[in-house]
Amino acid sequence: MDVSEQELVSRVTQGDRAALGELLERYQGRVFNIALRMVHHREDAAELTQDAMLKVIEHIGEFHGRSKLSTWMIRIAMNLCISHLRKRRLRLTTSLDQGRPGGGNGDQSVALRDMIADDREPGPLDRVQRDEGLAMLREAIAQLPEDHRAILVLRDIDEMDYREIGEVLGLATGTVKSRLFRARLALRGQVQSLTQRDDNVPDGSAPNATGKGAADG
Amino acid sequence: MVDRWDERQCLGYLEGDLTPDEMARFEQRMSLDRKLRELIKAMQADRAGLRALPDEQPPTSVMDAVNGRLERVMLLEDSPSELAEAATARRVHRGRLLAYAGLAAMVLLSTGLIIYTLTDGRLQEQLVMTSEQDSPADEGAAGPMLALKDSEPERALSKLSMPQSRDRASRFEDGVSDGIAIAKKKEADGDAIGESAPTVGARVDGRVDGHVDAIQPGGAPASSGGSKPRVVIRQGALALADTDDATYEAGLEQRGQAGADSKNRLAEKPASSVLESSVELELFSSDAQRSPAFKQNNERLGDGLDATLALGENVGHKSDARELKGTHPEVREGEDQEELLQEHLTAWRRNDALRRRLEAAAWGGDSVAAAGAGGYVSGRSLGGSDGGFASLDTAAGMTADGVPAVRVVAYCTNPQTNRQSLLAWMRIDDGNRIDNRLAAPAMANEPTAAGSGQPQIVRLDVVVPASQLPVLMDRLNSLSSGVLDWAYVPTSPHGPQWIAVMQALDVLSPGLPVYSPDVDLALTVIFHEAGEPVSVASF
Repeated sequence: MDVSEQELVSRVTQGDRAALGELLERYQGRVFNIALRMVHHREDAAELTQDAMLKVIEHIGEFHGRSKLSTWMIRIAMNLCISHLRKRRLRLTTSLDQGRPGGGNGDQSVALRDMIADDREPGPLDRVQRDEGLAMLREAIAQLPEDHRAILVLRDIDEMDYREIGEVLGLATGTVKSRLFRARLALRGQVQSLTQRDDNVPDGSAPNATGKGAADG
Repeated sequence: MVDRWDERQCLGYLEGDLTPDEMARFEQRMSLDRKLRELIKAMQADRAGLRALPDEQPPTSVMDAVNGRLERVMLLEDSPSELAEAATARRVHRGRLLAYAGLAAMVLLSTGLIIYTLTDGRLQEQLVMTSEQDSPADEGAAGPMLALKDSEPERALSKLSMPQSRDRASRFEDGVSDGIAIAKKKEADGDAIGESAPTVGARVDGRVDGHVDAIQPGGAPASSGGSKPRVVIRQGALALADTDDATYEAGLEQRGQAGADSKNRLAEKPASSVLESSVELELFSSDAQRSPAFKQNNERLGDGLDATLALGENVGHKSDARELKGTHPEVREGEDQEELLQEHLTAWRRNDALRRRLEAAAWGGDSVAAAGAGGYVSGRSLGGSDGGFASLDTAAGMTADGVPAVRVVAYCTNPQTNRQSLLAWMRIDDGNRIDNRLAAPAMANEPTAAGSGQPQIVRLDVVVPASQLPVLMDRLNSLSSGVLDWAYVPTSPHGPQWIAVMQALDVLSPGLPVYSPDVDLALTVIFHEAGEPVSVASF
């Protein structure tokens, strides 16, 4: 454990609220960016970050130091993000307007994608979207299943190592590696789909949303 | 196609984990394989792109609220953990009050017994007994407790001379034992004690379905004029009966009714012909789905992460959970619940009789029905704030082909927004891991026996706003292909929405079995065709 973090945690567990505030201040940016990449919505990410911080305040007494505090906090935040995404997906399934008879489950993924796109609001992200490649990556990652998205965010955005990812996601290291590679494949498939959509389908027909195509190289 | 390449090698190369020798070999291989080379190059670009995404600054409002909370904590001069301890202390205090009340009741009852022995022996039947043993509802009880049916001593004493109490005792006698009833811990509008059981789903068809743990001699036989044998009854899975949460109680009552209704319907059907177990049979019994690829996919979809998350999202009200946790070991928080499920599974595997009962009753109903099947199933509910109501129910059972599984139904309801529900199936694989698959979206990638890329089984969970009800009815009425095997309409069978859906289903498939626990208007349908489930439609 990082020494300074350990000191802070030690002070916090002794009831030092100022130390707790310092800890939260220290990690808010990191948590926010993870949340932002997970939910792709700035306001939601801010809310989730705030929720995660409040949970940390509430449960700091339960942190036993078996993992890094940052890992523990990110685990809380990640759980909130995935929960949020699932609730959002659930709301999507409520929309009869977006469903199509005979579509099966894939249609729901399409609806999710549409919803995510609709959910976006102009903000600082727009500045970055001028970079077409990055914008496409963001769009692609937003279409991945939560577990793929989570592992890519932790690995590539937060640059965690396998062990830390395993702690956050509750996975064995071997599973982390396997899932990470599959997530990369799925991301590649999404990018390819988006590229094909932009190149060949000017009327905006839906690309493959499942990411399975990635495995076909 | 990627399967022909070594995933570990590919990932190792991408992540820089390979040794120099391995890297050289991999590069040599890439030089001979154009597709591999292109894929790795593209993935490297993706990876670099993700890492190049710029960090964003969070809004200042994030820390405003956090600091505000911290300040409040500081003002209260309580650390967060102290706050938690205070909450537990309040719970303990309530427990002590209950114990004192029980003690007072014992004193009063002893007085009543003395009066009784000096007056009329018939009054003995109106006494009820309970035990300290293991009942989660027995918070604060320190030992065998002889209690009156009403927690208010004065009323109870007055009832000692009321003849109608005899009727209540008689009703109960049919189900359990002569002259014995179960004492309840909580006041319930003066109902007979045995009648409080349906609230937690333990009473079905006028019979209390509890465990008879032991029959203890209670002194001289009744025929000789002494006290009757004491039957110690342990109610199972009653942890939720004692939450002291009015919101929860209201919800539980409704769900208890819905669950009882559901179970009564299920009782009329052979378990193999209905319920989601048939879905699981299809999902997990085909050769294709037992293939290595399927297992690999399982691993991706499942194990601990999803299980934890699916459970965790419904335990947002940690303080409530913590309070409960202090007194009820059944109530866990967040990650603990995965462990809890494992424990349940282990216990379930060891208990064939219980398994059979669960098979007969748990599937398709909600946890209330399952709890009525024997008390093994754990249900828990965490009362929500903001007028909302969150609950999490689990039921353990076995799929029709013998695969153990845990069914998790989580309800998050908030009348101020749209009610939501989340249905999750958790299968226990050979490695005793929990494999969670959320209903529809997560199944999009499932392999199928036909290799079509689309799951053969479509499970539709459609939560419908009231305003969209006509649309739903139109859709239902427009369905023509396939045979609707049964419908799962998870809404309370009391409202106009439920009636409307039922009308629509009647048009589609008259006499269709419908199961309806209590959540907002939602529809789960599974279509079968020629004995096989087929994908028919989405709404």
